[in-house]
Amino acid sequence: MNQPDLSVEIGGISLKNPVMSASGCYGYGKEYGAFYDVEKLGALVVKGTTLEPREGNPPPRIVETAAGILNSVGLQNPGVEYFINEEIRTFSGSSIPLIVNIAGNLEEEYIRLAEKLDPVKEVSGLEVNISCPNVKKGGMAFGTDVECAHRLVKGVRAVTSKPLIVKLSPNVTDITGVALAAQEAGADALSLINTLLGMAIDIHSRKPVLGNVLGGLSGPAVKPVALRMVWQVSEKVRIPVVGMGGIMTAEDALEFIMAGASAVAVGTANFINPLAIPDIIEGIAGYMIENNIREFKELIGAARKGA
Amino acid sequence: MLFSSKSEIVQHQKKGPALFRIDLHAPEICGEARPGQFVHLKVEERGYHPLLRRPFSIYDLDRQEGVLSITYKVVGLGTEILSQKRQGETLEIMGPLGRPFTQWKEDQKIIMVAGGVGYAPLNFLARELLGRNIKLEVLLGARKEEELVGEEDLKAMGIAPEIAVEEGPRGFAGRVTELLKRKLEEESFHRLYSCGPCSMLKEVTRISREKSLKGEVSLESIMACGVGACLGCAFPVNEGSSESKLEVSIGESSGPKTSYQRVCVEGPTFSLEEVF
Repeated sequence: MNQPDLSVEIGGISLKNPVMSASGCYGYGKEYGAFYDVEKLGALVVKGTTLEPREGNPPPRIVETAAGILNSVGLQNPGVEYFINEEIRTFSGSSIPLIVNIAGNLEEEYIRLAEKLDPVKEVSGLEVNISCPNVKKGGMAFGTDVECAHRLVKGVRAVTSKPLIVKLSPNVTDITGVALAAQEAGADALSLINTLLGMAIDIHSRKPVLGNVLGGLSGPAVKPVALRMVWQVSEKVRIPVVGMGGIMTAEDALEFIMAGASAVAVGTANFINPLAIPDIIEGIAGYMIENNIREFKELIGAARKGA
Repeated sequence: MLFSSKSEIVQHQKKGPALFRIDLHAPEICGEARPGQFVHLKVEERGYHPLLRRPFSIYDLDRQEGVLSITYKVVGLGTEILSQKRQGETLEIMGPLGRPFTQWKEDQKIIMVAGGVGYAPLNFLARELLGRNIKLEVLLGARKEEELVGEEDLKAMGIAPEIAVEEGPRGFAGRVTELLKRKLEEESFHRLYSCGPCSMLKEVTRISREKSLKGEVSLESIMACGVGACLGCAFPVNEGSSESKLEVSIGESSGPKTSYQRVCVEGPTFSLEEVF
């Protein structure tokens, strides 16, 4: 059998394969470029970008938990101006879609971010981060309130023609409500899940381990929750879903795809295996060859048939 | 160039109640590694507990044989699993990572201060410095005698380290920083290199500053990616820490302005002025 067709379209963005980097776990791509050609990715999702530079949260920012990690990086980034003026040029020769994750405290900040990025031709789409658990006064707040989410996405939609992928928070009672609100407000796709809010305590110092007290849980520990949410959301919405949360292997990625995700993003796995993304792409292709599947699209929602 | 591969355990020796030395066959990394750099090891092959890799300073290397050595102390689950690995088994290794120690051509006389297993990155540096015929003095400290690292290896290189053991009975009965203070009263050095617990490094920096002695430290941090992508190992670094600017900031009550830098990329080695 010839190489299978792994291509897929996410809200108007054409991907040659369905595997992207997860925002915040892959820097601007340079770090993993030391191990392999980053052009292998389906799309590059760069770290959360804010209007002003952010210094991030005090250390410790990472603590390992059973099959997972808690982080409280706090969106440390040099700000959107720096990104446009300095970082963007490294992507000018790139052939893969560049998706910029945008985040803020106020609705207005998201809108200004979208306005600033709208004319940047290297940017293929925006991932609207309404779900960061590590930023006070906002971030996740937009993603946990249906009306807030709707208003925010509508506001961003009004100022940009770039495809919008809205990143959802799992820290809600019913994720489908926020998903439908984002769709209704004009999102082109959804990505889920962001990290689950958690914490750890050092019993010797009798204090929280993380400098920011609370952090976001990621890694294999969250996979069943993420998978369930992808299943629930893809049942309700008509726009494509990008699944993520604890994907370590091609098998994990295939579970999300069969649950209804049209593409997947890989985050924490990169830290353990720097070749995680190319390994997963190869593994999906291998599965397709083994099972005589010519087009990747046949696998999307495969577990839903008759469900 | 960064390498990620499997490496075979050539030798694994117990050096103390909780101290081990592991020798790994990693010729590609050996070809490029510099003193002060580290490797990221995966100790759990199949499962997800512990999930993350563990960073270890390069203790020594034999370029001809392609063997890289690490000296580590068992402090938690990761190092405990590592300590049970046997000769002939393989480990996934990434490296060389991080910024090496800076070496200055004009230096003739150097002092090193190590706290326990903090000697790890200094051993490789000592070997290189001695190869450049630099006069080297080494102060090794520990709380207990069994926690001392490096004495044998230094002696094999022809260096007799001065020892400070807080609980005695060997060497100077007290902290290694006290030994440093006395040493600097008597002699002067061109440079200092140090690694150990943060509290020790702070004191080393204070003492060095009094004597206008410059140098570098190697910091330890919990890390996730080890390559600069996750920003998990951030440490507050004094901004614009060229000496002239530093003098101005020290005089201010608010202290120097800091920004978070990555221990895995901008470090693990930093100048004294940058971090304390």
